[in-house]
This record gives sequence, structure tokens and C-alpha cells, in this order.
Amino acid sequence: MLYVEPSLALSLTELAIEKRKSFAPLARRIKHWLKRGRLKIVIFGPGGTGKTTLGHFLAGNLDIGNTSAGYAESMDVESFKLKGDLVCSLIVPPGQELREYHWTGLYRDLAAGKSSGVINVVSWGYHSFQALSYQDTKYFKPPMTKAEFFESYLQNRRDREQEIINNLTPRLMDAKGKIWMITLVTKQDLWWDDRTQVDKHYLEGPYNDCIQQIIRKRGEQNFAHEYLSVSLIINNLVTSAGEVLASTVSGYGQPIQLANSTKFVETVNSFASR
Amino acid sequence: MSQSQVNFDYTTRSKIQGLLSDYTNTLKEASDSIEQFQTRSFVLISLVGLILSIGAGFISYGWVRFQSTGNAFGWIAGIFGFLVATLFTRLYYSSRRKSRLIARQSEIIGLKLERIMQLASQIAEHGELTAAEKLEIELRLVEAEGALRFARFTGHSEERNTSDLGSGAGKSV
Repeated sequence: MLYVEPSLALSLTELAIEKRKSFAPLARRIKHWLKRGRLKIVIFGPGGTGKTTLGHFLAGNLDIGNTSAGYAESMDVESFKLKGDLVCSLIVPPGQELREYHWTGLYRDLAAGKSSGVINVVSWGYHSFQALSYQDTKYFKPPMTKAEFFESYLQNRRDREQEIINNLTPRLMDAKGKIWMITLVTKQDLWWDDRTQVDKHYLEGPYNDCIQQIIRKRGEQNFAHEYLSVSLIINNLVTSAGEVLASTVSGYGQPIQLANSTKFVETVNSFASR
Repeated sequence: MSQSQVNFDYTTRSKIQGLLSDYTNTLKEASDSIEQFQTRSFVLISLVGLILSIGAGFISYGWVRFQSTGNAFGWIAGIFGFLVATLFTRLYYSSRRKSRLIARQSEIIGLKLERIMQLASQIAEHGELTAAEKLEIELRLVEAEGALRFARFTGHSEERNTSDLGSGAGKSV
């Protein structure tokens, strides 16, 4: 299961707040650095899934409960420093199809064993886009309604997510050294009501076939993988023209958000500390 | 139609591609000018240092000579050196000021270029484009990225605001 159920969420909330407030002493960071050196985590995923926001979140620049300043595409490969004990860089390349040339160098790093972890960010097709009205996109074919457009858009974006994991699979299979990966499904607040479907989509569909292929090739010793989901910012999916494509699910609140993000942070820390 | 909504027909797309190209070239020119001014400043400040040290030598030598022989050449040469050094210092400051002005300009051009790049990239990702149009945008984006990187390398492009979430606000690598 890729999410924390509401029944568990409340008990984890208090713990999460405490953890977010704590700062790791320098000595612990130095100890980790001496033991493991500088770690590198690469965040892959299509454009508009929240890779940059995730970078900010892991770097401690984004608090839960923050509201979005709106989506703007990243123009370059970005790097963030992970908050906590580990001396770790997070590398975030732009996810747009046209700008995948940025990924070549990161694939090379994977092959050379320079990256210890990969986070593949997906969002069940709920990708943000910028500057265009939905009617200006290639997914809109008149006389489609907004709902029909959105269905077609979601399908296209899910295909794009699959395309990325298809491309990533051979790279991860051939990567040098031990590697870990997290498939992070973001924008939980938009699809929370359909969570069983989301779970099924990733865990039982062609996406998981790719993951299993990597596990078979590398063996569980050399490849650890986990499915998780979060909502880093609770916000409707809105176009620049102000058209609401998807609304936050009523009943989705901070306890669920905190519990899931805590689980995610803990998993990153435990994977990176191995 | 809301204010931010634009119809991306062929003419608009061509216009955006044109702007992308224009702003890239302007940013490149600005970065080149900054580099030239930086080099000029470096040369000027080195010359000032050299002239000042030689001038000081001439003055002290000239002073001794003047006392014993009444020959004022060394002294005059030293004072002339100081005057030249003053002139070069003034040129250095003017060069530095111009460089800062262009740098401020290049910050603005860089930010504008980034907005145009975002627009072009989004149109390429989600708009109805032909393969040739996509390729053209891709090539122009690569060129624009190079210009932006060079502008940042020259150290005058604005640091990204890390509190501006979701706008490519991490540190560029």
C-alpha cells in the first residue's frame, strides 16, 4: 500500500511535528560524512509532478501546511541539500520531454555508481502545467468538455510517467553498486478518494512490471524499492487561465498529509543511511 | 478569457520563438560586455599598481638627485606617473560602474528570458506543434540555457529566490 490510512495518521502527527523541528547536530553530520561520504539522490519524473517542491521539502525549505505560489517550470538542473544527519545532495532535472537532454549526465552518474538513490516522482497523471488554458493544449479536441479533456490529459500524462520508468529501467538495471529507489506518488490531496485505484495502477500495472524487472536483474540485495505517496502542498489543480481541473478532496487534511510525509522522510533517511 | 490566457496560434508561437532568440542574443551581448569590462578593470588596476610603485621609486630617486644635482627629471617623472595612475583609477571606477549597470540590466534580461523559456517549453510540451517547430524550440532553449548559465557564471545574474516555491528555485547546477 502506498499511503498511510487516516486511522494511523493522527498518532503519527505529533511525532512528525517534533521531528520537523529538530536540527541535526554538526557532529552527527560529520560522522555520517566520514562514514559514507557525500551522497547523491536524483529526483526523476515528468514536468509538473512536484520535483522542485520535493527538493524544497527535503531541504527543509517547505513546511507542511504551506500553500502554493503556483507552478513554474524549472529552467535548469537544480541541487538541494538534504536536511538531517546525512550529507546529501538532491539533484532535480527538468522533467519536460523536450528538456530530457539534462538527464543524460544523470544517467551517466547512475551507471558510474555516483548516485546512491533515485526518487521517481509521479502523480497519477495530475501534472501541473503553466501559461496555457486547457483549450490551448494538444489534448483538447473540440467539442470536448472540460471533463473529457481532463480524462484525455490524465491518460496522456500517465503514459508519460510510464515512458519515463521504461527509459529508467535499463539504466537502473545496469547501475553500478547498490542502489535504492522510491516511487513517490505526489498530489495525494487530488486523488485521495481514488486511492485504491491509484494503488492498483502503480502496484499492479506495467509500472510495477518495470520495478520487478529491475529487482530480478539486480537482486534484492542491490536494489531496494518502496512505493510511497504524499501531498506536499494542498492545492487545486488550476490552469494559468484560472480553470479548475481538479479540486482537493474534501476530508483530506493535515493529519493525513503529515503522516504520509513523515513516512516518506523516514524512508529516505533509512534508505540513505544504509 | 482571463488576462493570463493567450491563444497560441502560429503567429504567437513564432513571436515567442523570435523573442526567445532576441533575448538570448541580448543576454549573450550583456555577458560579453561584463566580461570585457571585468578584463579592462583588471588590466587598469594592475597598471595603477605598477605605475604607483614605479612612480614612488622615481620620486624618491628624483628627490635624492634633486638635492645633489638639482636635476628634477626623476621627480617630475614620478609626479607624472601619479597623475597617470589617478587617471587610470578613474577609468577603473568608471569601467566598474558601467559593468555594474550592465549587470543589473542582464539580471532583468535573464529573468525575462527565463519567463520566455518557460512559456516556450510549456508550449512545446503541451501545445499542438509540428516536429520541426518542436526541434526549433528545443535548439533555442539549449542556446538560451547556455546564455543564462554564462550570465550566472559571470556572477551578475540574480540569485534565485529560494522562498519562491515551485519556480525552479533551487540552486542551479
